[in-house]
Amino acid sequence: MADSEVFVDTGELAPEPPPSGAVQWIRDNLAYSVSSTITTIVVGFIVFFGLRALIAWFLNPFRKWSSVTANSRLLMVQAYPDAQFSRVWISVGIVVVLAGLSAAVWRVAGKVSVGQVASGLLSVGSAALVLALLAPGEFTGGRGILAVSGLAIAGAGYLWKRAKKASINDPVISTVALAGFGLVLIAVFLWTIKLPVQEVFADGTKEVTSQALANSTKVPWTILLGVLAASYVIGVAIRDAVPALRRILVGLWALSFPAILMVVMRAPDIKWDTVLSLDLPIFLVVGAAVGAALYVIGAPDTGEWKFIVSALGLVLAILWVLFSWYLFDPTSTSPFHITSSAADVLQRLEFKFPLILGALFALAAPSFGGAKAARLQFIGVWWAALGLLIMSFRLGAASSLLQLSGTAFVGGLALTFTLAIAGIVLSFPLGVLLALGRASTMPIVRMISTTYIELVRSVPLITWLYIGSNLLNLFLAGVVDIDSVVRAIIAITLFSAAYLAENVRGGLQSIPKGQYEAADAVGMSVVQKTVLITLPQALKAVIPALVGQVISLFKDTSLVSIIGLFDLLYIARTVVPGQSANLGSIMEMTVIAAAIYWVFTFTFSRSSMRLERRLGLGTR
Amino acid sequence: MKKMQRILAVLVVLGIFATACTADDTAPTTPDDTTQTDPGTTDTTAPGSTDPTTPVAGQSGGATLDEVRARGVLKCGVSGSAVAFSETQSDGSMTGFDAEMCRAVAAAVLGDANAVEFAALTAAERFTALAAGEIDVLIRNTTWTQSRDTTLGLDFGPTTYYDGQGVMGKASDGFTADSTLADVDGAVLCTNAGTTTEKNISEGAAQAGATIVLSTVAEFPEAMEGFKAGSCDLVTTDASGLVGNMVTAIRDGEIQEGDWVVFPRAPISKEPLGPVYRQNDSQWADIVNWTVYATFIADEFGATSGNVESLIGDVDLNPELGRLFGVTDDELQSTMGLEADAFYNVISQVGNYDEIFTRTLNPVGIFRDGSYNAQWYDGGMIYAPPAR
Repeated sequence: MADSEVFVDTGELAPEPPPSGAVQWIRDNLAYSVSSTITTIVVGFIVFFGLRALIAWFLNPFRKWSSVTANSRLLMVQAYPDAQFSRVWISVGIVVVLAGLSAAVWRVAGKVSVGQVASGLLSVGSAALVLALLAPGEFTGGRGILAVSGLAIAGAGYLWKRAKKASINDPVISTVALAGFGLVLIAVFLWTIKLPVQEVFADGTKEVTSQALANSTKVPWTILLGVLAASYVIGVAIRDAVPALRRILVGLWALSFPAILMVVMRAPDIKWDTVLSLDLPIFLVVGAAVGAALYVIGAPDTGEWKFIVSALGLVLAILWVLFSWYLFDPTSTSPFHITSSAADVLQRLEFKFPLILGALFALAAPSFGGAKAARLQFIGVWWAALGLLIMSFRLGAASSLLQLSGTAFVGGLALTFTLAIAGIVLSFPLGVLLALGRASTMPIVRMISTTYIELVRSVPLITWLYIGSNLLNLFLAGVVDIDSVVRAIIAITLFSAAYLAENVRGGLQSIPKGQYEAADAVGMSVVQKTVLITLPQALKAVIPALVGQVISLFKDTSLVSIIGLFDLLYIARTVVPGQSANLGSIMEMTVIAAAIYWVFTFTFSRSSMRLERRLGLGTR
Repeated sequence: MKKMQRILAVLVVLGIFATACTADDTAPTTPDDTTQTDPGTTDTTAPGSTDPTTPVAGQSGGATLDEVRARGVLKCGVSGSAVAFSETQSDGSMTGFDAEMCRAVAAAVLGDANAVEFAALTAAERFTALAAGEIDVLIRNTTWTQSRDTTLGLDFGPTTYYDGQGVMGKASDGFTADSTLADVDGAVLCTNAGTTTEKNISEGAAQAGATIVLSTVAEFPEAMEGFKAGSCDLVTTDASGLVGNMVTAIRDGEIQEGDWVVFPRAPISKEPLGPVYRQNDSQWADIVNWTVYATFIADEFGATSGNVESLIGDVDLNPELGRLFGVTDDELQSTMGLEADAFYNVISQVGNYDEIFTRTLNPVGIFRDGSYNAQWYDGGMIYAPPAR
């Protein structure tokens, strides 16, 4: 009885359990003072009537929801040609495979308890039931379905909770199983849920038929859901066997966007004889020559002459680009003058840009060189960068095999994504450079960066889009023919980079001075100090701001409709309501566009929260 | 720091070279650069020496036809979201009255009505796109006005559709087809902002002595939503758009026939819609104009896409049609730079004016009878000069 010896009764009673129950909860949270009671009642009325009006609007039999299903393809890719449509599915397939593998490799799976799932069901079901009960009018059609399904879901959740009362908080349900169940459910919905589809004939009469939710696309979507599940399973199977899988996947994600855009969607007409006779020799000769030079220059015992050699190399390479038109091509007058298209410019620059890249690598070599292993790794990066450069020149110069109508080869959600991803990816390095430039001690660099940032930020994005689209085209008419999508990307990138620079600068300023001094103390060069010490910390500190910028950039792409590009929102609000079959569907289409934007922005913000947790941001 | 100074020094030297290079750009262009093989790229001035007087590409005389021929496809600017005039269908194809006119031009120039690349343009950028040479012809329900004709460097072709602004009200509010602007006193009137519609109705109501409460929204469909919900007593835009919305609402069962009425009988404004092209290219202007006239003439003499093939073999073929289709006289078309059978292709592949009108505008409740768009002998204004 050792316990009783330690226990000392002080004569005090155990504290009473705090009062609980629904009435007490309301008293604590909704009506703890006179003003809070009034607020609760007022807000309650507003929510009640607002929800009632909203649900009545959704369930109105005159709502033209069929305009959404009939135009889903227009919303996604605008006028992508029928014959080539498999390219769209391949693009989605690439993303789906990478997503499945990543989910497995980053171990997103976890366990949740019965209580969590059952409570989720209960709240979703009761919300649906409450909405159905709130709606005015008869219990028919959509309202009836909503009420019955809400009741069923809530009932299932409640009964499950009752049945598993003892083990309700044990984490026994795998989220993988839940997600798998969700996928099966989606597949079943694709095939079973029917929606009315309206067809209008030439004489003005119409016919309403009932069609499956994704009538023409249910087979590919079902296959894609299967591919997602399969790639997750494969990812689980190989994640332990291939230790570098995370790095490989990061690389594949980085490559997926240009690959989808330039190879799959654009279908470049690659001349393989040119690749073999031109690209491959350039790659091998320049790669080997510069690689050897990097090996020598990067060695720690190489003298100061290495800087002179690499700087001279850069100057010569740039001079060659600028003056070769005068020296070697008598018919040409400037690097910007070409005879037919942007493709020709790329074709000509292909010879010279690898040398500029090589000279830049040579300048950076002393910072990243050192021991033999480090030098070899740096040379590997050089080969990869050279390969990417030559490949992008080849792909950019090749003409598209697609027969497309309209000015842009993508539209709808695909265009929104193209602009957003290209804008983010391209503005990131530019923005970081600008931030470093503004924080730099070199007066000219700092002045240029500051001027750029302040100038760009002081003008609205719409203005930059107009400048990029109309003025650029008028100035360069006949000189170089830049695609309208590229023009928009240029404007968005230049605009976004200025804002990104300020975010990154905020991060740079948050780093304690000791970090800089410590880096100086161990003898790091300026480049090493920036790349290895300050920049990673600065970027980590501003993740929330950067994600906020990504989200706003994603939504800002809807402004491109003013320069004639048909993004998701323009198609939803102007093109579809302009079809005589779907006249008067503007509110329905706007709601759907809003829902699509919400799904993606919500995903962005959730993933950034996950990233912040992983990096331990905000906890130290 | 020393390293950075060295790099900076290199950059400064580089900058000097670059400046010197820009100065060199004023060197005269070689004769090679001004060949007429590719008229879109004759501007050879380099950046840094941009000459404001240099003509913009595509404005040089007589170039558009060669450009279209070389390209093998006509670039036609349309709206892409104008009910019954140019609608983007759910599969991405373009239909409607304006789209058919584009096909007619393509049939005349290239012999293939499907050799059209439609560029869907917003109202704001349509003229810039045409001036910059991104499109060959603009057929985008564009009203012919004096300022547009004289200040934009563009010219207007023959009017293909005579529209006019109207007002739509509800019969339950006491409006009839005989109502006038004097009857709208005190009503809330909705329309989309940024068009001449707004100005026209304010001027018209003021002249009629009525005071209106004007409520503007961004897009016309939003004004229709307000009209249906009752927050607007009246909506106003071009009569074709009002009738289209009314007929659709009847079709979809939202209203009964006669619930909504469009008035007044004489439209508030004149809105002649037709093709637009760059000025100073007479050959191209002739081609577009006479393609439109060919559809008028074929309608006048009863040549349709159905009977035109048998007509040209007929010995009793109307002489005007004979000249138009290049059967009796192939000089008329070839002096314009077209094939002799250019307009035969237009009629056989696209149809005459009446066919185009019936196919595209009848489904939304717009009919020719009694309107300005009837032939001149039926009291309308569709009148083509003779083909001879």
